Amino acid sequence: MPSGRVNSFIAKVNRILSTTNGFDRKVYLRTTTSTGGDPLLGRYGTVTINDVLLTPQPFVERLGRERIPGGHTNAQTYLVGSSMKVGDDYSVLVSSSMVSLTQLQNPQCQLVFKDANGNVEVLTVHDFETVALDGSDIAYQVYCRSGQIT
Amino acid sequence: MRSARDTFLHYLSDNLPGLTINFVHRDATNPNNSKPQINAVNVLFFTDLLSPHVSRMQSSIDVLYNDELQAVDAAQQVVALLQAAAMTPELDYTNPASPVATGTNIYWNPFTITFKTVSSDVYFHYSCTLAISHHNR
Repeated sequence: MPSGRVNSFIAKVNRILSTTNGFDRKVYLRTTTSTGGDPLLGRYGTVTINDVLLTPQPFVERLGRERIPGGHTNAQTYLVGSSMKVGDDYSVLVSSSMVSLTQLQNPQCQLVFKDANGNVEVLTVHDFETVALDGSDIAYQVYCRSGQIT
Repeated sequence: MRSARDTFLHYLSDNLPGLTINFVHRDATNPNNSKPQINAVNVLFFTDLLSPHVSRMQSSIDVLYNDELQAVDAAQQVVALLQAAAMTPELDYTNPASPVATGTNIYWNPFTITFKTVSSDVYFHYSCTLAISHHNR
């Protein structure tokens, strides 16, 4: 059970995140479930996608070309319809009340960016760092990579 | 190509009930399916040599376990299965609940199955490359 001090810190993190959001898209936590079909073969029956808007919105930073030593970048550019899209690595700071450790470790969970025009970018979590206090997690620095852009 | 892949995956899964078979592939529905699974036999298809006569697909069988000896035991079971027979009937799994025989087989060379150790700090990784022949349609 988190201590009162931990809950206080989590509330502080949430307050700060709610005032610093400068990202151009909304961030959701997506959970995908499927029933029927044959998951071993990648043949799914009924697929249900549930996107929950994160509240407050996390702090998102695109890692891009400058952040990785040596100027190395994982960005990939390709066309989706008539638009050029860039897939890249992102760092997302969330509090433990926004996203739990279980959700981060759930292979059926992804982070999703959505813009006002309905474009969706799905990211997979590749790494995360934990900020903890008194034995409880306060926040997670989540490193994720663009996996799908529509 | 799809039937050959599905058939091989089910051949392993249906005949190795004590092992977890994981198909490593890029999956728009579940993007984390591109990650290997620990304590499982992971299967990846990476090359398709297509011919109007006999086609061949290259597969990688990667046994990943926390414990080396458990990996060896799992690899032993895979080898025993692949050496017990050199072929299995190819089935069309378009309707997974009712696979339909295609009238051909998928087959492999049971005499050349080699597992090699791949270095990792996190798990023991035993890897094998297997060429699977089939009649592509």
